[in-house]
Amino acid sequence: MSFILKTIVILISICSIASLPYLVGSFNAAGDSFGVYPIEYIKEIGTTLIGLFNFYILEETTFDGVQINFDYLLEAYQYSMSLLMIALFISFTAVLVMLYGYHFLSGRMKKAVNWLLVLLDCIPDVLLIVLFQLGVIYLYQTTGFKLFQLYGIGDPVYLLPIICLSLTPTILLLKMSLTIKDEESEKLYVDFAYAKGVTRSNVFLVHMLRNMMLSITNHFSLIYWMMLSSLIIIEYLFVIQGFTLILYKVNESTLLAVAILLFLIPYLIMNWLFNKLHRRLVIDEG
Amino acid sequence: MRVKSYILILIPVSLLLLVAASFIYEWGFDENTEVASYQTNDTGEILTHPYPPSFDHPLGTDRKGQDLLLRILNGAKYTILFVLSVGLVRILVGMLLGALLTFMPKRIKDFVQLFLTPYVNVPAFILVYFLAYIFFAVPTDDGGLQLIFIQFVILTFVGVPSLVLLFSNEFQDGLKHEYIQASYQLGASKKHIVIRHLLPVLRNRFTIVFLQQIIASLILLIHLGVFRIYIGGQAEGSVSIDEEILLSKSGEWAGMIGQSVFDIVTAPWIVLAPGMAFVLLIVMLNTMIRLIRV
Repeated sequence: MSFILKTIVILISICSIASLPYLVGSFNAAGDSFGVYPIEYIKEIGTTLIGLFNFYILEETTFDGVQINFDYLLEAYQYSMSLLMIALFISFTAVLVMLYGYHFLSGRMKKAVNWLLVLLDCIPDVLLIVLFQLGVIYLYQTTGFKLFQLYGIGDPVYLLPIICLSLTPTILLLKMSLTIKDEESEKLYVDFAYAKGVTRSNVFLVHMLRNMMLSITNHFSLIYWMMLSSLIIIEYLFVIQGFTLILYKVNESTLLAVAILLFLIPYLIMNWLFNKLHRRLVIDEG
Repeated sequence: MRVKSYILILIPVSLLLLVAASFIYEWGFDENTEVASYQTNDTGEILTHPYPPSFDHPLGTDRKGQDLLLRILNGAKYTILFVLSVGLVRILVGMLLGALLTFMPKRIKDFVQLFLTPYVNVPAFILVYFLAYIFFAVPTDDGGLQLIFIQFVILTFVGVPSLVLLFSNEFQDGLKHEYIQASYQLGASKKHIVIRHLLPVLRNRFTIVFLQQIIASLILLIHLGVFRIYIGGQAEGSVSIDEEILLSKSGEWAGMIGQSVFDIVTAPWIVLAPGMAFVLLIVMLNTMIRLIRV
């Protein structure tokens, strides 16, 4: 299929997601009713698709007394995405640092770390966030040390939401990276490098890291979408006037379709970037 | 080897016992348990609810003075049965549609795969989040049965697209075996191939996916619980009139977490007790996955 055809199919698919409320319910002045409404659903998909092309001149809708126009959306989007991107960057860096530390652990310690991660992975992200908040409050109560500003009323807060947002991806990414690292350590070139007298640190930094980078970044797309659902929770818990909170209880298909498209943009950029990186790192060396 | 199969039997049996105990509790003992009476502390002051964990109440009490351990026991059946059936229906529908998709002409297959890409990538929670409007609009005059049904259908079908693609790929790989080619040549039908040759080979894989789906729907329930979307709808549950707290009507665990997430500062045990139950359940399911996989 050609590129244009593919784009059209994807666009229709996105519109069909955004129109889903119309499949299960019909909302009009006469009252709401629920069931399956395929014809109205298909009509709504068409309307959404057309609405997508002139979204920027869309009449302003209000939500919770806040006027939503294009500028407002863009501002909220920037804030939410900067939270997400910084969190992703932090967790990636943290994983790399921890991976470097893991490289020097003894076999027994490595096993222990793996078990700990399996257990941590069982804790849902909501609980992790709640536990972290509890920890911060406990720290404040016992030592009087105020680490963060907790809730986002007034000025935009960055630090605490970002840390909370990066908790789950760090655990997941670290768990995946450790498997990749353990597989990489088995390979012959690693033994060869040790035999030639390359230091332990250099084997990791110069040789292994480069080979592992691709496999690790492969998981980014999964982690990006997972973080997006955490972001929704965090914006709600920290009372942040962000992008995802606007979408809550919204019954406006075009807005939802635009939201999904906006979610896709960072994902596509990331994919493109890692593809480039991969070519430079692996293929060009040949 | 022996230990492994014991554990694999032990975990489902203990979950079954928990559900049974939960039913017995509701039918037999629920009326007999009273709201915890007032307690006094060392200096004789009267304490108000919620009580922290103590000898009488191992996990503490909630704001209404109900024992949290008993509430968790009561909610166990709704939580476990709901996610179990969501996982089961997801798997069955996914398997059926996946098998259908496998035998479609290549052009249709490519189209369906492309069309479903956004559905697969966008997390189930975001799909349900977009439908949040509906959950609040459904009337609950009939005891919430209609709401539960709609929630069940929606929560099930948001998980289906990714399973359809997954299973269709699994079937595709399975079809490459030589004995299947031989079976074809002997005149076997597609239905025979799927039921007799593909499903038995993929049985372990399906069990793992089923367990993963249960975990995924548990986490989805917690996310929804934070947004006050409870299975079975909301019920007025505030102690005093001036504060508005909406409780989960059925009392499933995710609702227990969701409704008290903002209590974490004043009474952390109200959140942590059902949270612990959740983590334990997920640990059990993950253990099963690990044991089956090895």
